[in-house]
Amino acid sequence: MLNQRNARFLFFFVGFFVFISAGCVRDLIDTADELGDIKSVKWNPVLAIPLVKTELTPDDLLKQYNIDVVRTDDEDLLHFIYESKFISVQADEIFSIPDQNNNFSFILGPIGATALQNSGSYTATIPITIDFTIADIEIDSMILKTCDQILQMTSSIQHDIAVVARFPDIFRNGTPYSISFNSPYSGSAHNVARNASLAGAKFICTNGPQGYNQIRINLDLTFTKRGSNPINSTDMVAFTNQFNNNQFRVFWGLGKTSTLFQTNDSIEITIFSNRTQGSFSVVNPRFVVKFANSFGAKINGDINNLYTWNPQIGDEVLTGIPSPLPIPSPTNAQMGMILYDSFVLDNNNSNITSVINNLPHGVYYDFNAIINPPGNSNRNFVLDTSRFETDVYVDIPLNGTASDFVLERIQDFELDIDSTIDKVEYALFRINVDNGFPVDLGFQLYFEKDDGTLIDTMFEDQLTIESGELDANGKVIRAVNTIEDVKVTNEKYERLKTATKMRVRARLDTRTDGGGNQDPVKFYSEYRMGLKIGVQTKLSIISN
Amino acid sequence: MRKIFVYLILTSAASLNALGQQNMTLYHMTTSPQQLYANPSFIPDAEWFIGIPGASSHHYNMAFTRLDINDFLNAVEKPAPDSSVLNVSKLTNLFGENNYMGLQYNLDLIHFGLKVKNSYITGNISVHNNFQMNVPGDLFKFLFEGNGGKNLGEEFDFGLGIDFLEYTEIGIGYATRLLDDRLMIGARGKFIKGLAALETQRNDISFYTDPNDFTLKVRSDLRFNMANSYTDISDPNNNDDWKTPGSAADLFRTNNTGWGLDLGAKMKVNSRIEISGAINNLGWINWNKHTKNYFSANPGAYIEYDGVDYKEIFDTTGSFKEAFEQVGDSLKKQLALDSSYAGFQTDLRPEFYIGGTLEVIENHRAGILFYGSLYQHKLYPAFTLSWNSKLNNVVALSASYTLIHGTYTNIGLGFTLNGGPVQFYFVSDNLFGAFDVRSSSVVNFRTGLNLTFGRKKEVEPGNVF
Repeated sequence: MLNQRNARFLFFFVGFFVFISAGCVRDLIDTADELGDIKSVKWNPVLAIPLVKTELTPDDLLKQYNIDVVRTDDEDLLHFIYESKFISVQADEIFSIPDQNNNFSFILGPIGATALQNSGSYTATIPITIDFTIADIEIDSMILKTCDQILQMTSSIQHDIAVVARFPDIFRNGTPYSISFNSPYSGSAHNVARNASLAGAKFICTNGPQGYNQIRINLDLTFTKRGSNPINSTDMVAFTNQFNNNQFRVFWGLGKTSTLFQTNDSIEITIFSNRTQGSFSVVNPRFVVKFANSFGAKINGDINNLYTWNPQIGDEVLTGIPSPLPIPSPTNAQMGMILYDSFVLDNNNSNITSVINNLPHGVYYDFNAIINPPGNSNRNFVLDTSRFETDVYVDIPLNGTASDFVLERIQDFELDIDSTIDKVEYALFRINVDNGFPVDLGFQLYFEKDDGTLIDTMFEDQLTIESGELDANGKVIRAVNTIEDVKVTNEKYERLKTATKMRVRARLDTRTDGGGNQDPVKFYSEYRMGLKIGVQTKLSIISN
Repeated sequence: MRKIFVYLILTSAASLNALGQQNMTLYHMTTSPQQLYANPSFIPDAEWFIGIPGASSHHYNMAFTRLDINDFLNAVEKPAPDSSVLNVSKLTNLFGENNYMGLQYNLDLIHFGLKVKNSYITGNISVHNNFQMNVPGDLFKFLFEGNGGKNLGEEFDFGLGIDFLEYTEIGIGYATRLLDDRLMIGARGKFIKGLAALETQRNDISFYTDPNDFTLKVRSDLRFNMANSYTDISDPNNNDDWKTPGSAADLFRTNNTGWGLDLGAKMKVNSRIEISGAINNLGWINWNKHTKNYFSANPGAYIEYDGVDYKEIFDTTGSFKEAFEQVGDSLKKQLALDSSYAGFQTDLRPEFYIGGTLEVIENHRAGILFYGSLYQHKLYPAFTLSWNSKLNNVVALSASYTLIHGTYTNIGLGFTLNGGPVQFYFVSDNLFGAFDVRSSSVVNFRTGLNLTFGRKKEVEPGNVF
């Protein structure tokens, strides 16, 4: 049995247990009620992800504005090169040697007839000179890479004929070329043809009386009496000689006067044509014309009406074009070589610096070139592969100053995200730039409708990126970091969704010193701009 | 003393992973033979006992980091009187730095003991199931809040840990009285048959967002070990990675074995004060059969993602989508897991108790207990104050207050009821756990039926507990 003290302990234990249980059941009911009212779940995470990283070269940056004409010089200094190139057709499309067809014959005559009757055979030697008929080309000699010869003999004489045709002006592998054949009488008239390829043969065309375009043939004809067949002094042997499919590898002589170029050309300077405002000055721009020639013939050329154009200023004449143009031609000893020459308009011989610093949108000019100009009598050579090239370019070194220089481009734009996300409360773009370029940069994005109506801008003012740290020579010695946040609120996001175009505007300024002067800076190919863009978005996702 | 008390409170508050097999109320509850599981030196007051097979002890223990439901309710917004919206982004406060959930179930198949002269010999066959999972609060923070805003520059710890251990224990215990009964010492040896295991050996995953450019940095070093005695998970053709025992015989049919040892002592300081201590679960299980391991292909690899290369988009892939897919494939490759079939070893979760009692009134004792559990080389402590009353030879009651798992509202209760040789007992370290969903973090109780014989008929002052 429990004594009184132990009964009190039992009462205490039981009472304590009941008290706790009662309170807890009430809590359970309250909690269940509150949870039962929950109709939907809302989630507002703030997500931060890196979007883009890149290391931009100056070339990469300029490509965004359709300026992809950057080259480096030996010191790795960058240049804008705006170029136009002319390449002539090959010589074998200018000059050609047509098929040749020559006929000649031999009559037996009384002496021959008597000799054949009495001794049973008769041999005659006949020298012949044939013409190479080529309009406007005087060929002294040539090497043909293809030539198909056909020598055909016909005769009604009723006796055997042996033919040896010697060509003392045609050399194959250094040996004079000849062809021979026999034509025994078989009861019908003689008709014999022989074909030969003269590919690679050299033709000397100066041994005829004309001094060019002729070659010689020495024919040896031997007649052998056949039985008692009749012999007539009027018996004749006729020949046809053809050189077909003639293509030269090289010819020496004097070609016709031919026009290589006769053109009006223009070169757009996109760095200026894409600019919308601001000034730009360069230290030493150049207008360069380079010639490359492998014709052994004289070429005359001229550049006329060399102007720049600018919508604000109009046309400006670019002075200093030399006359004659320095077009080189290889000598006989330089056959197969391409000779180069050029001329440059720069600070020293032209007004180009002032003209370029007026920011012209382009250059235009007339250019003509002819080969073997009238009055030229110098014998020369032409290879089948001979060409003439002219390279014209405007060279603007990135060595100078820029002030409020603005480039723009427009592209299509569409903004939409996953429709399961009911609301973007905001998106914060963190732009982290390590600028190793020697200019302050300002960027702005304009969001517009198709008709150009401005809807909004990305940055309140503009994204300003400080120039890299420069040394006394205007060279970047250290990149400068800029971090800029752009917050796109839900309201702004909704506005941007209505935009169809995005105009990208970049502004460049070189540094101004304390006195307000801008010292020229140089852009080197080694310069880099590190760019990272991350986005932090607060989403509002509601699930019922 | 006050400093010690404050220290105990603070260390207990930090014990978020402290799920052991703790018996905080049972430890000083001498009328139940199951007290031997807390300290093998304890000698029951019965000459001999036997637990009803399969019913002598069901020990449930569920613990989890305290979630204050008020924090949950604070995340419920009321845009209209009759509707509520749960704003999950406000749920971060609901979770702590580490969020722990543990489940234990221990079942005695056989338990017996008998007095031999001045000593006591016990034996048991028990099945232990132990599951625990630690979810870092950073994972919830990341899910609910994202990595942006105030979380920029913060290193998130995504080291999710999951452990499971199932084994059969065959134990033999011995306790004896020394020094004129003033000192009792005891030990229990355990032969272990490992049944199944899932061990998180390494779980180092960190995630960092650079505040300057939002660059993401991820480091990963994971290793998970698995074993299952019921099915050969090391067979690549076996798709059944997890299987439960089909029969009771399966509980002993395993080649994954181990050993364990419990040691304890109890000493009477004087007629009213006793002190005691125990170190339990020293030992290990070797898992050599039917094992499988998953581990990071590039352990410790530091992966940095700082965006899609702008040039790559325009020069190579042609679109953001393809570029992101390429980056995703690369990250997957870096974070991929390899597998192997190597053996591994798990410990038995060592624990210790240090306690003392003071007889305040005859048959009524106040107790104090400090508990510690070692897990992955960390100490997870708990602290208990108890009151134990033996009202008569039929009824004995215990009440306790425990600091554990960062919570301070663990009120425990225990009792034994004897009807002849039949003894029914129930003990819990946390009564709130059973009823109070708003503040509970521990649900813990042990109950069962014993047959006890030769219990002392009279309550003798100074020898009750």
